[in-house]
Amino acid sequence: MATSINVDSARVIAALTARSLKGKKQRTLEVGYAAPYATYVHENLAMAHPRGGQAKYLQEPARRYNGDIGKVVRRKLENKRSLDEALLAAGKFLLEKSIPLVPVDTGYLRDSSFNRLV
Amino acid sequence: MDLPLIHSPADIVRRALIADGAGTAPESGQAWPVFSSKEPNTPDQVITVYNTAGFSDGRFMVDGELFYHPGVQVRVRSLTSPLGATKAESLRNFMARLHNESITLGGTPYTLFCLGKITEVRELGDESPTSKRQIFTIEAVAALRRVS
Repeated sequence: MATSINVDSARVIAALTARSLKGKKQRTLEVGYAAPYATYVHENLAMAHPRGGQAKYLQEPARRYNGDIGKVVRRKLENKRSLDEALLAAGKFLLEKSIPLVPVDTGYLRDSSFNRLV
Repeated sequence: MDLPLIHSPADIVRRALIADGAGTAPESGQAWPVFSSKEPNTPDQVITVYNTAGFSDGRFMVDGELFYHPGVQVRVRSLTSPLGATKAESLRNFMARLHNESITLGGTPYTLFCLGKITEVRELGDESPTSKRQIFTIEAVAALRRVS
């Protein structure tokens, strides 16, 4: 007995290609803060932050959670997510660790965070 | 296994900068004194080394030693931008050349193998809105060990 299955092969191939790493072995994700003074606040270790927060609000979690960021990417890829999705999830993870460390005066710096593929 | 550090990485790097002539000891009263962790208000032109977050670089499978490279920031404050930029660039070159430096702090010997991941010089601009002093920073991670 034969069973026929109708498959829209072009659509399936397109979906698999979108999820594939082929041709996308190198992608760059940018995570940061767009406020014009973000670098100044980030690098200035001599500055006091009486209302909380600290300098190196992005570098410190990026270094501390370096291994965990890699695990987020790996887990997403193992779950058949695309490389882009995996990287964006890793960026979101880093920002979740970074935002609580951002010094808050007006909140503009904290709200200027971004996470984007380039 | 590595012995725990008694002095901070910033103190050790500061001593290396002084020992090799990239800066001077504050008590000597000469130009470009080098401080660690706290930048004084005077003189105008100073170098300050800060501790920053470092990298954990895995574990040695034989004895379980954890490889950790502490981070440091070298900060230059100067009266004018060209002077600060020149000093910061020369410090950066000096940091890149550091190799197997033997340093003793309070009787404790250390070896500073090298400084790695040295960034370009970052110009932060005015120290504060009311100050004309210029700030420059350089980041690095240190490979160092307490000898005994």
